[in-house]
Amino acid sequence: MDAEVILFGHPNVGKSVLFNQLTGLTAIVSNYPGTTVEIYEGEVRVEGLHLRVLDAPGTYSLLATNEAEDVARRLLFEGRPDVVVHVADATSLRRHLYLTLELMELGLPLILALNQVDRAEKAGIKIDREELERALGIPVIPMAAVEGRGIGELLEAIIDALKNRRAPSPLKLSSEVEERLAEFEGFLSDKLPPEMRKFTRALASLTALGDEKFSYLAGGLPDELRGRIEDLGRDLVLARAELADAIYGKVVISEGRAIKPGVIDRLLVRPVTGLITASLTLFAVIWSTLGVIHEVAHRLPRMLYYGFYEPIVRGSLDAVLPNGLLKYVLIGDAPGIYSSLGLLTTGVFFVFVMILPCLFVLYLMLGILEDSGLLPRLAVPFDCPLRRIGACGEAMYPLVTGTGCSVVGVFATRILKTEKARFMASLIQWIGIPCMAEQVMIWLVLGRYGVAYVGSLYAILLATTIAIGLILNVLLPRGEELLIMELPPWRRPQLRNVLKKTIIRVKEFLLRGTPLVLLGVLIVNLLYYTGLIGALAELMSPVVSGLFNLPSHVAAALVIGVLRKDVAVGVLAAVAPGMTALQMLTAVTVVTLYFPCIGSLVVSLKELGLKRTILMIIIMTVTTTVVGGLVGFLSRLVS
Amino acid sequence: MPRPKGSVRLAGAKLKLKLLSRLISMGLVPGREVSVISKGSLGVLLESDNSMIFVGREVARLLSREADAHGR
Repeated sequence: MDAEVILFGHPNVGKSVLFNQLTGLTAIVSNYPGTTVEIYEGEVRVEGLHLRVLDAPGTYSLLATNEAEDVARRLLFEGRPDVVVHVADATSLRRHLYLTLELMELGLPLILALNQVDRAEKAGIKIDREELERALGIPVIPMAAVEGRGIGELLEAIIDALKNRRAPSPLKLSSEVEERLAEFEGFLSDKLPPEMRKFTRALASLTALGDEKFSYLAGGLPDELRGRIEDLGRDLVLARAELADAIYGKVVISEGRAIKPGVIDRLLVRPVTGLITASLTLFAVIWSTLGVIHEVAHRLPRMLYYGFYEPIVRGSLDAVLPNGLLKYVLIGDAPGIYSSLGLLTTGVFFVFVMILPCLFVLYLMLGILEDSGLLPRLAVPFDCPLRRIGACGEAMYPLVTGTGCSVVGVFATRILKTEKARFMASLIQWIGIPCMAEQVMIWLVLGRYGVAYVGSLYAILLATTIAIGLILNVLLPRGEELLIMELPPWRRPQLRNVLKKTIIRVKEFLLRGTPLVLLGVLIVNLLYYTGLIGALAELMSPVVSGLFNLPSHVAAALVIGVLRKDVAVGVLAAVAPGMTALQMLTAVTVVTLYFPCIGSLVVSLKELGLKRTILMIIIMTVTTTVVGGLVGFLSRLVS
Repeated sequence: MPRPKGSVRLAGAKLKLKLLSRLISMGLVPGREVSVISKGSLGVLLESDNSMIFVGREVARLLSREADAHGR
């Protein structure tokens, strides 16, 4: 690769659209090392050069307030791209200039891409481009990425910047702030490793602003200077804002109004109308998603699987392969998805019939929600109640999606910005939200004893979720506390953009998620083949009978529940037919709480990592012991 | 389409540094006049620089308290 270009800027300024215009279909998505933040990267060949283009997560400032923003700036400090393209919105240039001024302190070649000039023109907003270039000392490219306008000029500017390698000088703030900042820089430069000295000015600014990642830099400062840091930080941000205002005043020819707040925007800020509006909108979206998944995405693959794939694969391999381990691992020894457990039968069914169609539809809907501007709006009314249990307003979408399938729901937590929110949203799904298939089984099995028992189960799950959320909210490190959220303008989603994002994300699942799902199926297959599954059930029976007051055979359902919870609930009546209503309530509670299904377990391993997944399993085990033990105790008392 | 419900001059010079920095980077600069699109007990929806920014109850309270102290 000849050079690296990074697209940087606020959220919702059209970076992704620009990225797609530049890179076409070459893009891949990956997590930034050690994090779960998605980075899109693609390639573009221009004038004989091979450029790697990165789409950084949206950020308002280099002072990061969440993991995504931290990753965005790490791409600058650690990745040291050859060119930084600051993508700004032409309709709201004044507030974007603050970030431009920050980026100018990095000492990296910088281009300002003034996107959405089409919207600006419609609103009567005019910017003097030449004056802006003079004021900033960097190239300014007006563009409308959505129409492909300005792409050629931007590429030319990038090539030019690569040839010249000329970095802009930071613009001077007030002389008083500059003097104090220079004094601070003098102390810092000696402490920095040589490769970071390029960033002395930017790091001095961030340290002055109290950035936790760089607070160690203030450690060796003389007390007198350290005492003045906060004042310096305060004066620095105000001086930067003043300078941005002054530049804007010089370059704006005419102003106009480019946003149209809708009725929904007005209703969301009130608790009752906000919750009602958001709930209705969200459920309409989620249920239409699930409807599409059920009606279209599942039916065709199921038809293909049962009509063509399984008979051909099972039939031919059954005839060719001798009985033994290989045949057992590939197709199992019995037909049917849950009895087969073969890699080419159950494994293929899980990946291509159950998970993949769901993910495709989900990602498509997520893309539409992201691009339309609806998603951030839904977060507003739910933010307050969800923060009390460690999540945040944005968690609403994965939580409701999780009622369809926790595999999909855990995947959807990637829209959340903080690790804590992702962890809590995933845990809430595992503990408090049975998947759609399991809920059907719950009504069939527990509903026979009366609706009150089904209601009791939901009450137990809700109370457990709230209790765990309240406890963990205190125990886990705090994330961002205050809610300040930009509501992007309502937009019609660009089909090409949404489809491309969907394809990239699905491709990533196929490459990375599929092997994990197949591994999970293989492990369960080998447990059955070696007979270890019986021993495992035997091992669990003292807890099942002693603690939960259940017949020992229920242990078999718990083992099956690792694979599929709906099946586990379904077999409860068969393995232990004489259970009382309270015993059945205990059994269903335990099956729901004790362990995630293999699908969501592997997705969680991929999305949240080993440590957090283990922590969630420990929490589930403790919860099951306490809650299952209490309900079991109650059933023992009554009997 | 709802019309802005008037405008307010943002205070905030005494806010904590990180919050102040966050607000400024999003375009909510102390001393600047912004339009109020909607107010509710969950927070306030503001219009500034052709952008809609929702500030939660806590931030709105901090801002308004300071505004009161300044007699605005």
